[in-house]
Amino acid sequence: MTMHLNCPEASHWKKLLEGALPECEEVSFHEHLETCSECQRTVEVAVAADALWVKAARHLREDPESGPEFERVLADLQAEPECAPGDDDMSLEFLSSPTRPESLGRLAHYDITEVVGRGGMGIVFKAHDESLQRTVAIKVMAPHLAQSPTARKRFLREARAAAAVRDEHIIDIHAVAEANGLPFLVMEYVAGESLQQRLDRTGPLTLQEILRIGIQTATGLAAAHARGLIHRDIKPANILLQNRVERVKITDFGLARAADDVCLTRPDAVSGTPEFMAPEQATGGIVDARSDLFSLGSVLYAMCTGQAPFDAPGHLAVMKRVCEESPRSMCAINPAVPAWLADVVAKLHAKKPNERFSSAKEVVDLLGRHRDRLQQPGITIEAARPARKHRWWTAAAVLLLMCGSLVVAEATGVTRLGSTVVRVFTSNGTLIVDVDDPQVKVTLEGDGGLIITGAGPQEVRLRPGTYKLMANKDGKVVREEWVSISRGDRRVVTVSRETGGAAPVVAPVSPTSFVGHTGAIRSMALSPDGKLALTAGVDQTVRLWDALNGRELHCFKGHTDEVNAVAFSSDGKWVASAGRDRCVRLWDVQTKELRGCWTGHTDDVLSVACGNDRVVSGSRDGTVRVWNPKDSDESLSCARHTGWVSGVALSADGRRILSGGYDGTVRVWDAKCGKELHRLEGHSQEVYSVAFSPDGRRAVSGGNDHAVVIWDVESGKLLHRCLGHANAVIQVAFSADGREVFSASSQYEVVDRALRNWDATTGKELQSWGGQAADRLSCATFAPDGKIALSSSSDMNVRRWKLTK
Amino acid sequence: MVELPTTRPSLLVRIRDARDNDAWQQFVQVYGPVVYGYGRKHGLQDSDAADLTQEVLQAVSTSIVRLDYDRRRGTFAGWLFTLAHHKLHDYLCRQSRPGRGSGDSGVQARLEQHPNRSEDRAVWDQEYERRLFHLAAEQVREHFHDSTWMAFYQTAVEGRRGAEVAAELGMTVAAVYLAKSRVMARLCECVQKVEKADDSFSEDAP
Repeated sequence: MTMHLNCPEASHWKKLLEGALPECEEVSFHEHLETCSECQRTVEVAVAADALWVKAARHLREDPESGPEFERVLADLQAEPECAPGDDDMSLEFLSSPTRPESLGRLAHYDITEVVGRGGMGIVFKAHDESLQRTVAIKVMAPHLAQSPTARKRFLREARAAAAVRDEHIIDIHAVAEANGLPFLVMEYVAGESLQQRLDRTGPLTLQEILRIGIQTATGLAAAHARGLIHRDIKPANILLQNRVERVKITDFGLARAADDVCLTRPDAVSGTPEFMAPEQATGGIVDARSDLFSLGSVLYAMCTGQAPFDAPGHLAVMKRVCEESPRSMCAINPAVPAWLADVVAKLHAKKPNERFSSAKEVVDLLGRHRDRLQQPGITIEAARPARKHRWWTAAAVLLLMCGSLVVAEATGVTRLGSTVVRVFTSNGTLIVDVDDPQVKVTLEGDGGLIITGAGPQEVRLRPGTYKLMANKDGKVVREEWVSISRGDRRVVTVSRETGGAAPVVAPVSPTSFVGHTGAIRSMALSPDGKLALTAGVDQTVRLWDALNGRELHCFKGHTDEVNAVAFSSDGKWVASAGRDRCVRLWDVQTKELRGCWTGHTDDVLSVACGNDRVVSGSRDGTVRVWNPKDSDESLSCARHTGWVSGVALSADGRRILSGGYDGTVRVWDAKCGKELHRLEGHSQEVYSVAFSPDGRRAVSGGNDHAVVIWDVESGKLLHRCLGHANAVIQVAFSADGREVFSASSQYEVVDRALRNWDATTGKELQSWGGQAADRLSCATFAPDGKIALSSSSDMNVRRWKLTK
Repeated sequence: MVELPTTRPSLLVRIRDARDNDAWQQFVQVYGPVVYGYGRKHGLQDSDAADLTQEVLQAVSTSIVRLDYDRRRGTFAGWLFTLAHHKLHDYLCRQSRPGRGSGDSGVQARLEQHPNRSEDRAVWDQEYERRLFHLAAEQVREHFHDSTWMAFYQTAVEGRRGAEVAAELGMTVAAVYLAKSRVMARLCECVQKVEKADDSFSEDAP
């Protein structure tokens, strides 16, 4: 055994393993390790305890058990489910041969004349009842569902239960029967269209229609609920609008449940679309009448806005939204929606059933009162309010409201007529909400809900935590903000008449500036000296502009698909771009020549960063790659994120790479060897943008969770979590002196002060710009001196902001 | 660059959606071999262990919707063990019933061999852990050069001497030891991540 007197400490070996040692030291460490058996052992123990080494060896030595039967079973289990609803090719073979030329076939004593619709449960026919000489609608259970005896029984049982309910707003079921092994039900035939067809045709409805359809649907539900029947699948497609007479009929009562029984080889909690489903239903919990009320809320929402409230790509994304998020404000989509209606829908949409209305009847009455009021102007009605969880809150609020007003008036000597000052005390600190517009309604949401309205100072006692503050005026959200309150903290939030914050200062731009793109702009950048601007986007071009006057200087062409990202090099001499064609390109700003074009990513490239001697790119393929302009090949590929890489940055000294991804992590890599140095976890959702401080010692990131987070790069510590944005943060940057952080948000959900800056040392918000005039931002960029910002909406326009102090 | 937010619900949440076939396939990939290996450890032949696997996973697929698995009471792997344990017991009982082909005393003996649930749990845990290590190895291996992986495998798993492996792979001894530890670090990280995901139920499964 070779012993050395000067063996490095275990911590040093750990650093070496992580690739965090300077190169010069690495060599001597290697030499030492070559012969020192003591350190060879230390290196092992540094990463795992002995027991783990033994475990790994034992487990990996043993090959997994397998056998031909097992392989077969595995293949069987993984085969596509047999019960995939293949309704489109559902044949009509179960019909007996027709007796009349215009008939498609016969089912019992019904002559089938027409296919009216096909759905998840089966086919609906228009038919003629020979014995009673009337037109009926027949719903036949889909054959693939009817194969299951349980589902068949359920279908019959639910249909019979529904047949027992008679209400003018529920489709009459004449008969429930089985023929050729298929259950079917015979219903009254309603000439007209479904609410879904109507919405597809016309978009949002008028308030009068919304109330009419809403009241009638709720009335039908009330009748069914009174008999213990739950619909389980209230959605616009199941609400029929009868022609000529203004009558609404609900169809398909309870049938959704039968489909639940079917897929026995596969789990199937969600049959049909979850878009209108209550959270407890989407998660397979206990469903009752209040679940239908949630769906009713979604139907009202769809009538108001023309879209489903919890829309997202894919059933799972929808389910997640249904369970966790509140829908986009209706008033933001359709300003004509009155606030009281939004409140009704919000209450129906309470995630917890006991916070919704207690019955459909209550909804009928409330909507009825509003309809009456609209017909006779002059009568005011108290709007629905979200259920309150903490009743003590309210009591405390009222009490403090009375005492507080006196205190404030005396202390300041100013009685602020016509203004609302809300003081929210934490156990040791204070949040002051200063509203100088009596028409503004302020809502503060924490665990429960609380509405603060009216003039005069108000005080509410709260626990420390994070609260959502919303200001509404005339049914429009004028301000939405996350406020973090800790002990000993004093925070002031001002909601002024203008919408709060500094008014948007948009530099005058002549109509001819920044004109050239023929498609939406996806990414933009300003040169280090702030004089040049870059834009790129859907039209596959990258354009260089005079940042001051918006004159186009050059158009780089070469990408063969949409360009997602552009960046200037730190010396401003190079431009990097990348996009859907999976190529990363490097251009010379002086000569305008293409200096590099690298392929290697296996999916769209979403982000680029450019140093003086290398280009970094992040892609949907989950990797971060580094390219060397002197080399045609990729020089380095860092290990993967477990999601798309939407932001990358390179430190000024070129030693570190930062990446942010859809997996919610920010990672620090060694730019030389590609080793992951830190995985920064502090975002709860996708990270969209990352940046280094000029000295490379701190990093900033922003993402879909609305947060701007400042990190210490060397230790990987979270320094500050800056809350304030009410939308996803799409761009972050440090100022050239490293003292401030800038951020831009998308304004997707509500009007936001889209551009903000923060003190990089304390994490406190310094200033914000934006307001009602701003469109939704799709990309933005900040000049290093922090005086200018550019932004673009989802169009071809560029907005130039003067970030005045 | 902003795209629509995506969701990353856990595998166990995802398999509740009948349309998410990927999730189900992944689930079968991860847990199928665990159940099968558990059956084999109890002396079942290929076909019997395969049957057991099918029964257990089908039971998961039908009961996961109403999965009353309580996070505070244990891990998903533990919940699955209970299911497999009962199914195995049922299976052995059926097999030992008169009239069935394999109703030999051997099966009866095996049935009595593991009457103790906690002992049986240890067998299960071994199988589960082995699966985790194999899954992790598959994943980790992709991230390293072949020679790095080989250096790890031959020293750590096969127990060969560092110098010997270094000579064979044309690496320095130091490089072999560093490779060994780097791979191991990643392997442990990967296994822990899966264990954590299993514990928390809301994290991503592998």
